[in-house]
Amino acid sequence: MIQSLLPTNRPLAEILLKTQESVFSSKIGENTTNIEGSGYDFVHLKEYVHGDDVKHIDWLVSAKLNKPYVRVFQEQRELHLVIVPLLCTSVCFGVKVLKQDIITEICALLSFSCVKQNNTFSSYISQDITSLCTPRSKSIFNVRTLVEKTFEHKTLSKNIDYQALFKILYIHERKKSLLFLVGDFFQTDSFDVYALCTKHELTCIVVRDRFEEEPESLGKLHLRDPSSGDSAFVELNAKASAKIKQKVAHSDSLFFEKLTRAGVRFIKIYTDEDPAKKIISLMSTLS
Amino acid sequence: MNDFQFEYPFVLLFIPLYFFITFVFKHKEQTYFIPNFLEILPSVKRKRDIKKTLKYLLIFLTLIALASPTQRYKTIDTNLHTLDIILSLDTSGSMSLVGLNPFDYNQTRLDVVKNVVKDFLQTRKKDKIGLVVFGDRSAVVSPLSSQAQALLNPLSKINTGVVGNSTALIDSIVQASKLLKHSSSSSKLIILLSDGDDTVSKVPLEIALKIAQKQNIKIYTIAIGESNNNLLALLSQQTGAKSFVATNTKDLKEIYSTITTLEAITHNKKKITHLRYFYKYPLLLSILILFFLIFLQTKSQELSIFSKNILKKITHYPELTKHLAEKKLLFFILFLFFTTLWQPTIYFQEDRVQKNVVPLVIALDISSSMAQQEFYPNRLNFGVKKTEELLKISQNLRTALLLFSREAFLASPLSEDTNSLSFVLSNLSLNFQNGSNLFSALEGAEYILHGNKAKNILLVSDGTSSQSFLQEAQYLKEKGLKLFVLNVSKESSQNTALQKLSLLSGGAFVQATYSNNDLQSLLQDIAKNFQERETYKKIENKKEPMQLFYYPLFLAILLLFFIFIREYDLKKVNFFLLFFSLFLLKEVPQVLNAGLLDFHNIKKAKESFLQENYQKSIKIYSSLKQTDRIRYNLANALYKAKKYNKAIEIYQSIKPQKNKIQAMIYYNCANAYIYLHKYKLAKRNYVLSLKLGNDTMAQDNLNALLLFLQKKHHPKVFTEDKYKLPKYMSASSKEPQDVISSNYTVQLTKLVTKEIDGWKKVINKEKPLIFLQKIKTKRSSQNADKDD
Repeated sequence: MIQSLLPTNRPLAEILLKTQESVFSSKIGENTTNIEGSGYDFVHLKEYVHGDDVKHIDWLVSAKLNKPYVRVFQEQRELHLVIVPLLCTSVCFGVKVLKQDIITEICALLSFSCVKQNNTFSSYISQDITSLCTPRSKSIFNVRTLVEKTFEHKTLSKNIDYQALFKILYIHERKKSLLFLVGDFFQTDSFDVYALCTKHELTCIVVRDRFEEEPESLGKLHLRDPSSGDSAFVELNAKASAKIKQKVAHSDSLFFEKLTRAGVRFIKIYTDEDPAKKIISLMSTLS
Repeated sequence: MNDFQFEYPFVLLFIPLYFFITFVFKHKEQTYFIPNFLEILPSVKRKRDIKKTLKYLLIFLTLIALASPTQRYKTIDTNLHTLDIILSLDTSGSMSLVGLNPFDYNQTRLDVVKNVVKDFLQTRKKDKIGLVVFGDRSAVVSPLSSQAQALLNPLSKINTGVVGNSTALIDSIVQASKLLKHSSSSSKLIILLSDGDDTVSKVPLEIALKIAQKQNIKIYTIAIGESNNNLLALLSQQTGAKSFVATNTKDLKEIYSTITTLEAITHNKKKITHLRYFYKYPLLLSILILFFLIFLQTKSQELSIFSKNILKKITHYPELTKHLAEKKLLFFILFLFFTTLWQPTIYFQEDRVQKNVVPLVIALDISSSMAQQEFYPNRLNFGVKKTEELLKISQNLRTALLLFSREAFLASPLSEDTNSLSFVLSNLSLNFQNGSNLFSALEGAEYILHGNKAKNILLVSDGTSSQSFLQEAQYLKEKGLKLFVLNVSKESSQNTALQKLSLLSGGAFVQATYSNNDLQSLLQDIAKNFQERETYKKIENKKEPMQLFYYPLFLAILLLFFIFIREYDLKKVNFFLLFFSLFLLKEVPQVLNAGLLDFHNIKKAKESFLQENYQKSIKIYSSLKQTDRIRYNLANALYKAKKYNKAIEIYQSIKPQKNKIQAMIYYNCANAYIYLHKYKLAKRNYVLSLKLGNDTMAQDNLNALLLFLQKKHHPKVFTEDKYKLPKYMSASSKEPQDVISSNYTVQLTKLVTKEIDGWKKVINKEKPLIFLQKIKTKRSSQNADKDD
């Protein structure tokens, strides 16, 4: 795959190589989920409630405690991943590396490890319209499709419609699955995730550039907002930097509060960091 | 001094051009796509773009520097221009009339002329002058020679009737043209002096004129007395010169001086002006500005925290982000500016060396012994051929030709014009004479070379019979003559004495062979001898240093334009501003549009002419720029409007290139004169028209006119129908752009070239007369009368 990609799209091929290396060298697949089900891994005991499977009653413990207890197992191994890169306009920015490139890398990482562990994955690309990128499959071809589409997607003047996105995910993905939302999550006022969390397990990967949170003072610049198209002269100095820092921190804190309340795992990856390590560390901890 | 001016003022036009471009095209303003900041940060005032003003200033100042403001502080006239003049003198019988000089009635016309010419020769020392006389035929007295003194002797020998009593005026022009054929001067003149009309010339006027015109020869004509000078006037008019009439000595003197001043005026415009250049001052300023610009450019490199690829993606005009290349270019421009400041110049050390010319008299032996066919075809012809070769090879000889047997004849005085000399040489009519007098050659040479520092004689001879040349040796020593001998006989025994003589005098004795080696060694000997004795001064002419600063400055300007204009989107035109500026352009200089309407006006004038609304046509034509064609048409309209005087005036002011048109002008003039009842003038014009081109209409009119003049009554031919419209008028008024229909001209030119070719052959075949001047010899050598 990479061989055919290398001459035509070198930067993308480099991203793929990098992710493949990290996938194959580290045991990224030892991930844990909160999903309980009919697996083999014992998690804990719980008191019998009406409706529980009678087969799972641990008779020994029940006899000891004079109350019926059932064993709870983890869900079986074959998982389904849903990868959703959120490619709004602000994604096309970065100081040394574009955020879009990092998102592509993360998508590649996730989908590769999925294929490696014989799990299925499907993917959507979300902008103002959410569209299905690859259907549910295990094939490596879909990895490439996803990565290519993410890498080359035009991002100018597109904002994300979270409501529509969640609705689609809720309807389309019938089976309980692991949802990965990859984006920069700047405009999160309409981010309301409670309903989705009842059905799926959700993980948010926030990709940011440090410049966005705390810009260096560059003096007067003629800026243009890529989403609205407005332009104005703006002075970037220490004062402005502090203001931006405060504003971003405020909105982030609101956003993270929302996430924790809904029980959503999240992680922030900066453009100057290695996404593979971060994701491994994320997947190995339970929320 | 008020001599401040720009050397190349048109360069300043680029300043408005640059302003125009910046005005009309959209400025590419770089914006950065950075999300989310605008919502948070308040917008501030646009920062003042110093760069823009600096760029304007930079372009402005550099263009001013390139336009090169100068101040003239010294002008030096250089009189480098020389004329090639052939004096053509009439020696026909009528020149022996007296009365030209009011103070001395014994002087004939020719005497007066000769005196004036002598004065003239003495004033023109830099020019090359040749002399041709004509009577029954024309004869070459001297080819072009830069030594005017050399002409004085043969001039004094010219008498009336030297070549017959009639006047072959036109032949003399052909002859003179032949002599001027190889002239390299930019102004070739023939000064033709005559007192009568042409009587016996073989060559038609048209052909002679064509030959002269082809060689760019100007024929100044001087008519003596109240003769029929129409022909002379025509000649000078056709070659762009002037014709004069001299009725007394004073006139004649004045005429000669005016001719030379006229030529001097038209040509001596070569003035070396010393200029002070001020381009450094604006350039220094622009260097300062450029420094500042580069400084600003480096300051704006703060955005380098972004990597290159990303900067391309987050900017509106990615092409403007190539800071580095631009900076390099700016540094290169700075370098160019400094090169300009360094003031590169080239000195052309063009030393105009006056040629070290060696005067040499070539004395050809024409004694009957030269008829021996020892060399092919005979000794004399072989000698002549050798001499021709010598002239061809030689580079710095000033040569005179002398023929001698018992007496010496001067064929050509000293002249550097080797082409003319060989022309003379090849056209000599050589008749063998008895006896060979060495003294005649020596004295002749002395006569020619009198006053020269170096005196060389080249004897092309087979030797003489005398065995001792004591007297001759003494003579040679006394006069400082050097004898070179080219022996054209194989009997070496005869010439030991001659050899001795030549060696004694410091010359050389060379045996002629069929190869060129003999000539080479001869030339070497002459040159060697010359170097030993003579030290001619070199005249160095230091030229003004040539400024080269334009080139780096021009390159710098180009680059600056290229860099600065990149900031403007040439695809996006600000149409409003464009129209506004075009409107301004149209309003302010009306002059710019004046030329455009001419086409329309000509058409209009033509239409009104065809509608017989002549007044309107005249009005329009006279409002236009007066070219020859417009004037011709204007004159036609005037003619039609019956304003004959004015029409004639305008007709005569036209100097067309083609003879055909000139003929038409004469014809129309003649018709106009008839309406004015000036029949003599009409007749002359008809004749002139007929001379330039055969035309039945003109012939008819002329015949009718002659008939009318004879009968003194109004003939029928003079009805209105005939003269209502001159023949060419209709054609010309139909097409004001081209007077003759193309079809006709092609045929005509073909015919003419054929005719002229034929004539050229005839002219080339004909051997011209060479004027031989007999030089009296006092002494005679031993055995001079005896023929060997």
